[in-house]
Amino acid sequence: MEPEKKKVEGYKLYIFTFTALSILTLLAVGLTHVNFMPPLIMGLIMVIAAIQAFIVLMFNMHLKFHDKILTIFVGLIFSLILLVILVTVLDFV
Amino acid sequence: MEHALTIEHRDDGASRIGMWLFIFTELFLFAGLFLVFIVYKVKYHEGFHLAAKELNVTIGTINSIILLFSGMTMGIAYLAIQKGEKNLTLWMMTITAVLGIIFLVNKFFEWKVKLVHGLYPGSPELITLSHGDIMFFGLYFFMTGLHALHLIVGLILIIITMVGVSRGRVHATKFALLENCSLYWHLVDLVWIFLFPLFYLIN
Repeated sequence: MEPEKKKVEGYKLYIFTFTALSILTLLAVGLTHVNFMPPLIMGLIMVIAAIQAFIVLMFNMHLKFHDKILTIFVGLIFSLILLVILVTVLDFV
Repeated sequence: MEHALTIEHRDDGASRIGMWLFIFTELFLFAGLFLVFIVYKVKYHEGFHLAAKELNVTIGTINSIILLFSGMTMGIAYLAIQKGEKNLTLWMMTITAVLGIIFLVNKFFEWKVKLVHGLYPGSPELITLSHGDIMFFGLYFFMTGLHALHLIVGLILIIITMVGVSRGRVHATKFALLENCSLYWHLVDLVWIFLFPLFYLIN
């Protein structure tokens, strides 16, 4: 196992992540008012949610500061979930 | 002179891995529900589209910001305990708990409006609507209810951790309980990040 990175980061990190997450939330809400290619807008909103999830996992849940193996596990689990959703949805489209 | 030697077995790394394993099971639980939601959304697109218009995007957005802010205060609490700042930790956890309660109060009022309009599973009004509406509100109450239940568990965890911090059982060199509590709270955050666009935004 590789040594853990420095765990005690600054308070500013959480202020930055909150700001980024809030801006992304407002951006997603703003996108709902755009009357242009609804499937594209829906896709963009889900991409924004995925970016928000990435920020929460990496910084708020400290994956960036712990063993890389945890990040790999989380990545694999999210990939599996995405794959199952895609395969199921393709049956209905 | 006799000396009592007490050796405390502690493995913070294993504790963290254990918490993550639990989080993985929670992720699969909600992923299954998201899958059900997406499948029914594709199947009853029109019904879901109309039913989603009944939801209040403004309240949903405010609740999102509240939960994100609580994630920040919880993060600061986690950091403060490592720096030995006990008072700051307790204050931040108190703010987190208060924000969690505000989220639940908002959710209660949001639910109340739906209940008053008879838009709850099994209501005489909802049965007269389309199958899409019935599925949408069934999933809405179940998924947001399950999320709220997780939030309540998170609040209980926060209180237990706060007692530990105030009594000195959780401190700068022993903070696994607070770390796990923080991870759980962020899981609640993470689930809401996907619930919010699915129910409120994607129409």
